[in-house]
Amino acid sequence: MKSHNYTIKTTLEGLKAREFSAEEIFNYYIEKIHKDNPQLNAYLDVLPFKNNNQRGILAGIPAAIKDNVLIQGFKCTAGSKILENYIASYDATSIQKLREEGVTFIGKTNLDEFAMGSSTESSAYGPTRNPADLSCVPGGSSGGSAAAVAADLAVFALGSDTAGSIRQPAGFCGVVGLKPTYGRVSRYGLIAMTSSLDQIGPITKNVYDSALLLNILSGHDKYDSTTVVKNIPDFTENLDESLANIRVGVPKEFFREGLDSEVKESIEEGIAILERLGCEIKEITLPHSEYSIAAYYIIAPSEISSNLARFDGIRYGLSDKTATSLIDTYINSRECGFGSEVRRRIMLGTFALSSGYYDAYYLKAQKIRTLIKEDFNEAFKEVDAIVGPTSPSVAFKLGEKSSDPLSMYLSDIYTVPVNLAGLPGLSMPVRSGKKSHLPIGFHIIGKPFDEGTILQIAHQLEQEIKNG
Amino acid sequence: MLTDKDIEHIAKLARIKILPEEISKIREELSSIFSYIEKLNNINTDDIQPVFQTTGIVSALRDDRKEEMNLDNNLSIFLLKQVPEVKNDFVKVSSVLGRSKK
Repeated sequence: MKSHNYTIKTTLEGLKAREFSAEEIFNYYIEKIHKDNPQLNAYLDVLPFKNNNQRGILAGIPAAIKDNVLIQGFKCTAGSKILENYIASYDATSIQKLREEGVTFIGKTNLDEFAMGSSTESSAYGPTRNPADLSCVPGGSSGGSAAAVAADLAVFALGSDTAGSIRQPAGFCGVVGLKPTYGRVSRYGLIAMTSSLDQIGPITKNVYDSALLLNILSGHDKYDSTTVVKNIPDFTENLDESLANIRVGVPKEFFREGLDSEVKESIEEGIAILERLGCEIKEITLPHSEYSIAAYYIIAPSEISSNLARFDGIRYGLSDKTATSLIDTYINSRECGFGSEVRRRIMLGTFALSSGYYDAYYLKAQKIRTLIKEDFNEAFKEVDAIVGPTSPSVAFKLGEKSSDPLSMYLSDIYTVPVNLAGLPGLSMPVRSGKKSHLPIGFHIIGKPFDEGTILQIAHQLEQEIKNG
Repeated sequence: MLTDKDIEHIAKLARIKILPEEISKIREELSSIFSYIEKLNNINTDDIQPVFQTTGIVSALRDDRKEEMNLDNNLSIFLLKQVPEVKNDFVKVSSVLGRSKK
């Protein structure tokens, strides 16, 4: 088989025309992975072929799954040594839904340890490299999933996004990443990082595939009480509907100092295209967005310190068997099992929640979160969607930010507010940087549960760039 | 802002081991993050309500109805296989009070 960069649509056409069988296309990708993965390290593991529902609407489509999403009977490491031998005892709801539609699972992809990071460098299994430039990071934490899709080592992938972990790597690698509204997609079977912000979403080669997958992944789940009971529209239906009269907001705060000029230029070109397509462009303001990273680094570590307390070396995972007391089993197992970023965030959160500091940190941050959310509410009175850059720069070099946690945190400055407000956001490639020649992500943010509008805008921008 | 003693205290609460030579580096990293976070104090939030979740779901309760439940024996076996130490199908742990293991 030649290299085709298969999308869901072209794979389904190939299967239907009997150009290849489900097993053949699966093995085609396995072979490609054996050849290309040693230099990319996008995959941690490949899985055996298993024919799921052959009548499903995605029957025979091979997918890559971020290694913090459980697939029954297979290892799930979350990029951490503490889970190096952990085998999932059940399917995540998102996996079950894909399985029911006939998706085949090729492998598990690399991530920052427990999805904590923006570069995939904090993985205990080595960094992933960016297919566009091997000396650069793919972004993170879903760096393995984004790199796998960008390098055509899967038709699509699942990622998870707590502060930008789907959108930022999609932007750095030049693919489409969608973080659904919080509550849209079940988190059951996703290894929890920050439960009030985590959301699973697709990483794909085009916007249509993203819409199609959202149809399948969405819905209330009795195993995740934060999922909403809501009718799910067919997200593929309105992709081509005219953009005339759609009001698009451009937050002035997203174009200030800190934004690279080549990113700014490319994003402004994207906005100009939307204007040509009939959108009404309006400047808006999100005055509290500059506080979102600070609020995030209270809220996320607080939830992390609580969520990661379960890793104690007692019931599963790595355990220090030399310890002679229970507390030493805990401490030694966590010492051997956790990397430095995970320990840093557990300590940040432990401090923020410790006696006497709750009001000053956690409560304060949750109040700031209200202000950030209200900024969006105000903006959405005047506009239907908000656009800007996904990240302030293109992909950075491996090692460039790994010794400075704060500068790494700041690379999520445009994506974090969206998680704090629980909104849907999508990153799609626009023209690559003139200087760096690296991919640039165009960020589209929607009203709660209005993924339809952002997919519609993204799809038409994509078509216009393709044809233009 | 944070002292070495603070770091030792946090590490103890978090069940995280820190080597003596790591303390000053960790203190500097955490302090620089906390001093960045201090910018939140630029905003007066006295009259602001906190937001803990964004979905608007008020209470998520199941119907109060009996449901069949099947205990899966294979699942217990599967889960016990992953336990680092098992004795007579129970999870075995070290002594809480730190006596030596038998």
